[in-house]
This record gives sequence, structure tokens and C-alpha cells, in this order.
Amino acid sequence: MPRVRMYLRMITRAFARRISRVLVASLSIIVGATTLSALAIITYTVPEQIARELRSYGANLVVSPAGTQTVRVEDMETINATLAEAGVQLVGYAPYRQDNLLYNQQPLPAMATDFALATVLRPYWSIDGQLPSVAGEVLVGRDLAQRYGFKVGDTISVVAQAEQGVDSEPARLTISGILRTGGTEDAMVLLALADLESLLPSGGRLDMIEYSLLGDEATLESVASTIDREDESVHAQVVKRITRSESGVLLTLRALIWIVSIVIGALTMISVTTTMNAVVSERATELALKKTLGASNGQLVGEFIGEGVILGLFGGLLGAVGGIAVAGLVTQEVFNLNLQASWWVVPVTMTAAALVSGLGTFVTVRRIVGINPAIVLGGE
Amino acid sequence: MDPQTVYTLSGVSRRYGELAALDNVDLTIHMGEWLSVVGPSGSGKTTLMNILGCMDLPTSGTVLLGQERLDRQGERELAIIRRQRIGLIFQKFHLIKHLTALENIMVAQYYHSIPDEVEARAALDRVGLGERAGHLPRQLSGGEQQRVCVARALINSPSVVLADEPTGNLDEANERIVLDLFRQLHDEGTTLIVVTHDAAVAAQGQRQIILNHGRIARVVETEDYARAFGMSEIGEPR
Repeated sequence: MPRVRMYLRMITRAFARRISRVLVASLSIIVGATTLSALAIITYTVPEQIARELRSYGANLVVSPAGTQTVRVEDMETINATLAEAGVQLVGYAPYRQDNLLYNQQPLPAMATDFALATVLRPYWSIDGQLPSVAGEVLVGRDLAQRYGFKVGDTISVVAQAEQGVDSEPARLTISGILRTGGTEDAMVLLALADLESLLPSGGRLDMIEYSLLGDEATLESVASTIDREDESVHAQVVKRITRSESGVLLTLRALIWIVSIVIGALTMISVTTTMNAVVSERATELALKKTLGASNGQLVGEFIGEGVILGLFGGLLGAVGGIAVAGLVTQEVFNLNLQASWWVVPVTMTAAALVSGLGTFVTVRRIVGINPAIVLGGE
Repeated sequence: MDPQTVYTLSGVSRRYGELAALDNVDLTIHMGEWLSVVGPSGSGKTTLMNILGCMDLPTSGTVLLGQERLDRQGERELAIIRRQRIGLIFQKFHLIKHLTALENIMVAQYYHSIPDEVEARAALDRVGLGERAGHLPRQLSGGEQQRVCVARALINSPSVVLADEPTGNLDEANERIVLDLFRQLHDEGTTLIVVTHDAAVAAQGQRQIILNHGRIARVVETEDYARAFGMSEIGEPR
């Protein structure tokens, strides 16, 4: 029988036929591996989810006309295509056009948009009533509603200020909801782009397109440059206030997880070392006997490291499965996210646990070398 | 030096601080001899066994195994000598608990050279345990465990077999079986050194040395010994 086969036979028998002792010895590895694999899964999956959640802060990229140029609806299609080519994940986007209407000869600031798109981008909008669903329905900002006494269901007659000083035909708009945002929208009337276009034909002019994208500040800056380069009529700008606070939150979260992981890794290593030292003491007679049979210290250390590696693989396997379960539970209960099983974590955790266990075993070398068979095997 | 000499001890002492476990011992052990080492507890039997078994070194004096000075060897060299030339049998058996009888014998082969399952099975057959090859030590009786130890000690064809109280944990029937095995080994020319406090076991040897306070207090030699090796100057007939 080849020596290597006998070596494997000895270390696997030590594992398989001492399973209750092995379970006790591998407990620290299992606990460490469970925690670390759960953290690894959370580190790689939850920040992405948190980044999506943070997108409710609003747009992080704004496209406006460059200089005296005009942004048109067709530009939006081009920019969307550019973003798709750049591989940037698009959470949402919305076009806006701003103008003034007249109500009873009083100026009425108006913002036209696509409500379906705008509400994705501005999930913080609070509406008493309904979103406009048919042509001629509008939202009125809370401040404006208070000033003029508008209520949901009221119909208002407005005219547009034509550029030549001639008012348009009056249009009757029905208030479907009162909008509360705490922002500039509270002093505006919000209507569909098509409704404003019918009052003030502009050939599809837009004043701004807002984008909500997944990515860090550098990615967004790069995307903005690309948009500027590819369409000279527009200027894309990153909303730094948003991107920097998002990056800060994610960086802090990742740093926290790394620190916790390092602490747990160190504790696991200490625990494994202590356990393996205890195992050496427990098996001192066996080690002493092997020495009397002529085993060198190197051979005994090699066998112990082999056993440590198997112990690590075993603990790593159980720990990884436990980690997947814990990560699933945490992401479900804390982040309300259904996590798909991250099986990649199994080989990674097993390898890491085998390394930690092997290294932890290495520190027992001094104890193994120090075993004196004459004393351990009994004497006078 | 007599080429038939296995061990030659000259002025060997082993001290632990002020205590002399062995005190100026001179001893020659012949090839093929069955030597019994007897004496009360604390007399130095096991210390002598440890020195002969290359598990300990004397604090003074010289120990020769054949032509080799053991007292000048380092730990690594002593391990090599143990694996190549010495077979050890212990009172408490010291079998590896998670290995079968067969695997326990193959471990000795592994450290010596190449494990050979056929040879290991043959060694078990020789001690009458061929059928128990796949049993773990806890599934074997004390006598069976000691027979596995005998097979393990013999598997690498050592120059000398050292047994420390080999029947100390056995009942009468198993003691007889083990002693019969020793007799066979001796008849085949194996050098046997048996440490015991049991007079009946000691009497099986060709020569007895009786230790007391770390010194050889008395040597008893049989006619068989005298025939084989000649009567020594300090020996007395039995």
C-alpha cells in the first residue's frame, strides 16, 4: 500500500471513528464558519438591496439643456440607449417640462411629467386623492391648494401664456389629488406632458430629465461624461449630495461587516488553536506511542495538520450551510428581501475553514514535539 | 567486542536531580537471549527499559546497541533506531483506539517503511487473531489486545523486543498465551527483554537481573543461558 494511502487512511479513520469528539472539536469552526459565511452573503447581496432602497432619496443624475440648446423627448430615448450600452442599472427616469399657466389672471407654476415614471423616481410623493389617470386630470401642490382653496374633484379653468402675448383657449382641468412633498412641487400644478403640450405646443421640448441609477459616484461621473459626449444638446450632472451620502452609508455598512468578520475570524482561530491543543493533550498517549514506533515529529505534525484540514472542511461545510440559512433569515426578517441560496459560499467557506483549522493546528507543533514517550506511556 | 552482543551498558546512570533511578549499571545482553528484568517498584526497571528502548538517555555511562553508541544520539536518530531495530510491548497495550487491529500493525509498517496489508494479516494470523483483523481495540479482550501488540512489535523484524510488564493486565489464560508466543519468538532467535515483577513470568527467561535502588542487586542464570552464552562472572546458577 502506498504510504500516502496509509496516511489518508489514518487521518480519515481518526475523523470518522471519533465523530463525537470531532463534533465537539469542530464546534468552534462550525460557529465561526456559519457567522462568516452569513456575513459574506449579506456583504455581497444586502448592500445592493440597500442601494436600491437608498434610490428613494430621488434622482442622482439630472440631464438639462446644454447652454441655449433644447432637450427633446427623442433625446431621452438616446440617453436611455447610452445608459444601456454603459451597462448601468436604471432604477427609474422621468422627463419634466416647466411653464407658467394663468388662473384668474394669476400665474400658476406648472410642471408637466409622465406620472407613471415620476412616481417611481419620487416614491416620497404623498397624494390626497388619486394620481391623474386620464387627460385633463392634474395634481395640485398643497401650498397652491391652500392659497386658492382647491379641493379634490374641483375643476379649474386655466389659460397658457402664449409667447406672443396672446392667451391660449381656456382649458378645464380636474384636480384628482393634492400633492404633499415638502419640496417645490407643493407650490405647483402638475399635469401630464400631453396636456401641457396641447396648451402650449413646443414640439416635445423638455426642461429636465431625472435619472435614478445604481452605481457609485465614479460610475455616475463616467456615465455623465459619456452622455455629454454623445449628445451635445444636453448636459448631464451628477447629484453629488445624493451620491455621496449613499456611498457613505454603503461604505460604513461594508466596513462594519469587514470589522466584524475579522474579529470573528480571529476568535475562531484562537478557539481552534485552543481546541487543537486540547486534542493534543487528549491524544498524547497515541502520539507518544507513534513516537515509540519511530514516527518523527514532522510526520506527527503532518498527520495533525491533515486532521485539522479535514476538520476544517467538515466544519466549513456545516458552517456554510448554516450561514446560508442564517443569511436567508436575516435578509428576510431585517431587510425584507428573499435571498436566493448563495451556493458559491460553500467551497469558499470550506477552503477558508480548512486554512484556519490547518493554521490553528500548526501552533500545536511545540506541544507535539514536547511529548516524551517515556513519560507519557508511564514509568516510575 | 563479542559480535553476538546486542546491548552493552557500561557505568550507566540516570539521575532525576538528586534521585538516581539507575546507578552505575553494567550489563551485556546477548543476541537471542531472553532476559528478565525484575525488581520492586522504583527499582529502576522501567528506566532501564526506556534507555534500552531508545526513549531516554543516560545521564552518564555508555550504551551500545550492536556497535552504535545510543547515549550520543539525538532525538531524530533515536527515532530511526527505534523504528528499525526495536519492537516494544507495553503493559497497557497502547493500541490506537480508532484503528482496527490490522491498521494498528500497519501503522508500525508505515513509520518503518511501506505498509503491507498481506504481511500485517500474516502477523495477526501468527498470534491467532486473523479473524479479528477488522476489530477495533475496544472490541478485543485484554489478551487479544496484547497479542495485537506482539504482532505490531514483530512486524518490522526488530533485532530486539522489549516488553514492559506484558502480562500485568492479563488473566492467567491470556498470560499463558502471551508467554507461549514469547517462547516461540525466542526459539526463532528473537532477543527478548521482559520487564516484570511477576516471578513466574521472570522465570521464563534464560537470565534474570534483579534491580534494587537502581543497581543490579543479583543475577540469576539458567543452565540454558550458560550453555548458550557461558556463565558470567557475577551470575549465580538457578
